[in-house]
Amino acid sequence: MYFDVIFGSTVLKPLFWMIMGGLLILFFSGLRLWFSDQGIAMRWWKWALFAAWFMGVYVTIAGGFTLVGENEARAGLYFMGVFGTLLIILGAGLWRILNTK
Amino acid sequence: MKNTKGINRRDFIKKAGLIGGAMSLAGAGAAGLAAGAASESYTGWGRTAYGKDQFFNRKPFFTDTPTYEKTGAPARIPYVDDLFNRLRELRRLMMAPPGQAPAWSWEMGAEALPEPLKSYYADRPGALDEYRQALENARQQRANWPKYRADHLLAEAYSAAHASFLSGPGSFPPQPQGPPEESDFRGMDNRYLELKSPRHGSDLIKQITHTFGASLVGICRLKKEWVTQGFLRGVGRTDFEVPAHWNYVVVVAAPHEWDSMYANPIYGNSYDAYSKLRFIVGKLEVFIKKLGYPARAQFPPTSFDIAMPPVAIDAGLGEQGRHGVLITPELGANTRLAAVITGMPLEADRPINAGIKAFCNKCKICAEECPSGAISFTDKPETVVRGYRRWAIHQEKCYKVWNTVATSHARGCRVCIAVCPYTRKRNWVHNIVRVADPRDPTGLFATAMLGMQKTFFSYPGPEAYLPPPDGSNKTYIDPPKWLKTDEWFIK
Repeated sequence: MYFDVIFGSTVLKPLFWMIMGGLLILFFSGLRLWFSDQGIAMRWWKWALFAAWFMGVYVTIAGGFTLVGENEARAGLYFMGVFGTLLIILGAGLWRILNTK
Repeated sequence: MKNTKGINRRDFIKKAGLIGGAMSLAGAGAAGLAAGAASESYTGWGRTAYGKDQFFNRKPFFTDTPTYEKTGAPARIPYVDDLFNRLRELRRLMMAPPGQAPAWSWEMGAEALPEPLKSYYADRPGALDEYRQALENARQQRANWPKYRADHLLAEAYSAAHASFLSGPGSFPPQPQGPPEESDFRGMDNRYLELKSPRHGSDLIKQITHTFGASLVGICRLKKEWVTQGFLRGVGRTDFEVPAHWNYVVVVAAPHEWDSMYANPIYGNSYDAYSKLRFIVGKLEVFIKKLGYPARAQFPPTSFDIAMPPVAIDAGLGEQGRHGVLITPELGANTRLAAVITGMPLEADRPINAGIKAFCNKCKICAEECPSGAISFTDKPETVVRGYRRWAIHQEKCYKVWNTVATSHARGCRVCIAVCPYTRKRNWVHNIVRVADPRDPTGLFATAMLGMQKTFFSYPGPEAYLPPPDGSNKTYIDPPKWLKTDEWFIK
């Protein structure tokens, strides 16, 4: 199993999550500037709502692929399809909220 | 501030952030994929020795009332209540010694059977006919095998390898010889030191048993109603009192190999877990005797003097499911049991109520998928067995299907184990459910999970597991690559 090279290693596994943390910092740094350029006034509660939504996306992708990884591909795709659709709808609502002053 | 290449710092961070976000989502997918396939998730078969398989925190779910429902006066278990004991008795009656007529034949009917078989089948009309049909199926199964052998060669060899310890000179542990008052003490050393306390005894036994390879270990006091009556290993057919030194039971659980188990009924086998369990309890019996206490191993497939699911419930390992199999939080229905009865002073664990039995009331997936129709569809358990209301499968119907699937001989079905929603490996998705479900007093979480289970996951349907013309030799999930014959051999 190729993934075991990273996730089975006591050194590479924490390194992977440190890199993931770095990528997220980069993402939110860029996003802050992007919101600013779009003229969206972000407040703490808007950031909280966005973070919750993004975590939902994160968990949906990770959960779906976990099921795929354990040989339940159909369940994984359904999982991502159903919750992904729900998140797109919620995302549209969130976008309207973020655009409020 | 613009740099000389025309990319300003602000744009760079925005673009890098976009790439970073996309990469982190891809990383989440990769981490998920890895979690699903990780060797650590194969509880009992991964890298989780030394007690790390027993990861569920039972403490919040301790109860003083075991989840089996007492409705009347309990009674000891007639040995013919066990399918294999019953079949052994029937075969013995039908096999005539040289030059003699058999003691019983089908033409004589159930009324001509000796007790306790006569009463057993009188109480269960049709069960004997199901067994007769199973024998017919067995003939057809053997005739079909050449057709399927090339496809399932590895599954058959894998099963035979795990079963090779069952009998013959290499069999372990040895069967008891003589009454328990002798055999359970045979090989026992004089007690050299006294335990600090029963609690120390329990902790020691659990630690040692985990190092022997046990995934789960629990301890209970032995209730007399869980002891069989009418047959005693080492003695034979006899009515007996429960020996005075049968005080505690160390209950041990181990799972089947997960990928082959999900590919039931054809690619799974019972013997992988059985062989682990036999070595664990065989060694534990020796260990306890060396400390100076009597011990008697109970091990599969048929070497039991006690009923295992209820003692496992008493020992806090789990609850009985609709399919009659013990369901544990860690292993689900992929839980096989063995035990050691001992007179060693120990501290008993407490039973748990983690909502498993309540979930079984509404789930019914095992009943819907059972190719033999042996599992009840009723909303709650209706069968009363020796003073306890519980789920009870139709054993002969179940056995009939063992003799039908595309294997060389009747070596089980286990579809109910594979399809059970609790039968899940250890990863973060299922661990969230393990933690959240039993803590939700409303039952809404369980209802939502069941809805997802029935919508997202695909089930072949009960007939599909059978060979043509009734079915299509389906397995619940496709077999692992390492068990597919055409991956390794020229057909």
